[in-house]
Amino acid sequence: MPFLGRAIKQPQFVAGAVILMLMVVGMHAVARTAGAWLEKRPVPIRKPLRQMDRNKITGFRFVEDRGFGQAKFVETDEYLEWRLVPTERFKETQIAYLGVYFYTGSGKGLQIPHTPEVCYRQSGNQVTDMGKLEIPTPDLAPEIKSITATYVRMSHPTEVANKDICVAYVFCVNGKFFESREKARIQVGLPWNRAVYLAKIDCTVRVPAPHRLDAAIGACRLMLSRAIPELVREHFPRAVDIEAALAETAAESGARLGTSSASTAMGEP
Amino acid sequence: MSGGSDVDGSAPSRTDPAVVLFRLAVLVALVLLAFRAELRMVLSSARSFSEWSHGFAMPLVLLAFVLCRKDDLRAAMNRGSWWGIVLIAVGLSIWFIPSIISQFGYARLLGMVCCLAGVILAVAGWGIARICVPLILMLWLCLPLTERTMDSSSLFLQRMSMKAAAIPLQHLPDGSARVKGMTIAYQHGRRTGEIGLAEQRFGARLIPACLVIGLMVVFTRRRSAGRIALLTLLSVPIVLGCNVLRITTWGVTAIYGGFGEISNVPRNVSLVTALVAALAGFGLACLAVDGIANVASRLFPFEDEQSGNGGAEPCAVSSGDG
Repeated sequence: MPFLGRAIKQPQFVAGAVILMLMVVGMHAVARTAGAWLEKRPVPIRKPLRQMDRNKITGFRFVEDRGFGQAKFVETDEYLEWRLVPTERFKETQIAYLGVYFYTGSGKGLQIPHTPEVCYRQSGNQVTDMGKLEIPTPDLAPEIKSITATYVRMSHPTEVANKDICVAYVFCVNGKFFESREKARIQVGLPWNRAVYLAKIDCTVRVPAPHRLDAAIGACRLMLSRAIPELVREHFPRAVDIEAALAETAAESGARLGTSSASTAMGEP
Repeated sequence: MSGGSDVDGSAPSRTDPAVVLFRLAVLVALVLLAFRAELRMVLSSARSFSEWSHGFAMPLVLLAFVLCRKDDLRAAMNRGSWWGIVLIAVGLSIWFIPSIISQFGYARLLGMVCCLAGVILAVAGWGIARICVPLILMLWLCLPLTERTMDSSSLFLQRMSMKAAAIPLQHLPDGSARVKGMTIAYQHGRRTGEIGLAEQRFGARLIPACLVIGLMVVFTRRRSAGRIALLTLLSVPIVLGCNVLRITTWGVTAIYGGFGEISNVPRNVSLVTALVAALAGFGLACLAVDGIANVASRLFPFEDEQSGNGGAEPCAVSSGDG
């Protein structure tokens, strides 16, 4: 019996070959189609981040708005980057940065921004510590009593000003907060979340001395506990806004479908 | 859930190795073609990050493994199993769900490895699939983890390794060393510097590569479950020791070689030293465990019979689903 004939005698081989050939031909196309079907609808922000009230970040004095010309790098027009100085507690940290980045929309899909432990290392930083911190949010109770964020401590071998820094970050997806990028990605990707917005809120402070990580974490906690309630109350879309965005998109696509049917009936391409 | 004779009529179920190899080659090629994007990702990581560059050595490692175990593999060659098709379907699901929900790279890579395991099981049956478990583990150790996962899972190990490596460096003549964050600051004569400057995860690199070496060394011969369990326990100090040795070698090379802080020489010297040490360490561990087991089997012949002569000698494997 010819070699090939003997080779295809095994049913498992034939079944495996058929499945794998189907995979080769179609699996990427099927995934693309399913991905397009699950494409997210945009949810516009309620109030632009640039209009955020600086006085709400109590315990810190606003120094500088650094959020100009960064849209290309942060891949959104809706962002803010503030430089602040602690005025009451944690003065030894000297300086602090607040960053808020808001993403929504369809197009090529909602991308989740990188987190500090990935992008800071590209400039030579080394991660020296990582962990979770609890941010009390009594202003948002009873819906959100506290939020868990991630902190990352990084050191730079040569940079003098920011040699030892601590960055705390948290993601917000449709009003829910997540301390990890993976959890936020899952939440964004869930098929029943048809209209989605995503925000990354981060806070960077200098670690004042090698054994004073607690001061840096305290400053991060304080700043995020002031910024997040303000963002949730005034800026981020509420559940009703998400529903409205979904209804609006559905109505638009219905209207588009109606127009398309009418055009086809009239013999237009 | 197995069966499917692949020979004519009443011929024995022993399969022609060339036919099985042909089937495996066809299906593996199809898996690699289907998962070409994932394969590109693995190769790109191997090219860009030294932590994953052992992926390039995998074809040679696989070939060496097959050559070393060829007698076992030939003896275990049997009918395929339908469970392999189930495993391929599972691999597909692992790939497909993250692909439509979110672009989870690691889950998709796992899908590829799952499909490869399924191919082996489907074509060659349980006997060969069991022998090839280390191969699958080796492939898994070539899948690049995300930076976040690696950082969060290795920080403790990094700190401990740095502390351990600083001890011998402190005792070098005419010098001192201390851990400074994730680097080691040293002073030698009038010269000062830092070891591991800007090196990501300096305290815990090459661990997957050392584990691949360990799997290769341990499973090149057939060993009983007891010996494998013992060697698995021994692999922890061996891998950790090699990691500390790498940092120490880096330090010694940097201090006495007078290389600059960003020179590649200490990195390369320490890398080769650690990998050679891993090879030697696992080889010695195998020799020791086999030696102890042989002595024990002579002293207690009853145990030897019970264990089915589960020594390190290559022998025919009767397992399989035929």
